Amino acid sequence: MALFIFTEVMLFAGFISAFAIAKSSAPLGAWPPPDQPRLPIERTAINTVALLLSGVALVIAGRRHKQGGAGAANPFVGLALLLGATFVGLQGLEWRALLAQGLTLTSSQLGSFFFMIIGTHALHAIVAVFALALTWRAMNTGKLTPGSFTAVRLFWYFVVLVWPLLYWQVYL
Amino acid sequence: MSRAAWITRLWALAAACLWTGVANACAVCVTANERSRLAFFFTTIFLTLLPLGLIIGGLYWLSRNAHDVFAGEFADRDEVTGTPTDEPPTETPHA
Repeated sequence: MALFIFTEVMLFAGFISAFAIAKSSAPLGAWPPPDQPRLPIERTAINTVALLLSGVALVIAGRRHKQGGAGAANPFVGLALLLGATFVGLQGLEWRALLAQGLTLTSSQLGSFFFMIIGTHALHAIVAVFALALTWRAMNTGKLTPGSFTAVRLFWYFVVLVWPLLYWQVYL
Repeated sequence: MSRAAWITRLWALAAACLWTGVANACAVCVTANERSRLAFFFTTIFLTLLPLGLIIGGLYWLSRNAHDVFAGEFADRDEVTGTPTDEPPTETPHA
């Protein structure tokens, strides 16, 4: 899992670098493109808080699991799952609004980068939410293995920690 | 392919090399504004140092936690041979 996350970090680093260069190559005052909708900074800030809190909940779950086993960690994994699903849901609503306003994959360079970078992250977040849900179910049925819990936590930490960087680069 | 055909192709390649102009693929060569140049500079540093940092961080983490990570590595084998995992094998005195 650590090696997989290593490759994912490099993937997002490439995306962010390409975006930074495209943004800086635009003429002064032409970024973001004037005919394109503005990205919702405030609403996404709320999503960001939800995602960060889910990361904190999973850190606590990891510690509790070490000290008291699956029973002690269970509520915090549930909380992390709820907050993660909230993030994915709110991002989906945000995307729907942006598409309705005319920001699409082909409408501008901003649209292409936005949907490629944020879309890739959303795909990771959806997979991670499913993995968390399976983990939570395994915890409830007593079939959770420590190795799989560690792998899911590592993946979720990656999804959580890469997001503030994306938010800073793409939205702000 | 005959030798003459190889020589003709090499001459054609050499002639093509003399035909170079501005490399349009290079964004700094064409749109040379200061912000773009700085973005290239910093992203080059970022993309160079990031994998190195990850490798060094990974090795540092392994060096700190290797004992815990690999503690149960040979547990199955030791179970079969009867050797305790964390204790060194005892030396038998020579007769």
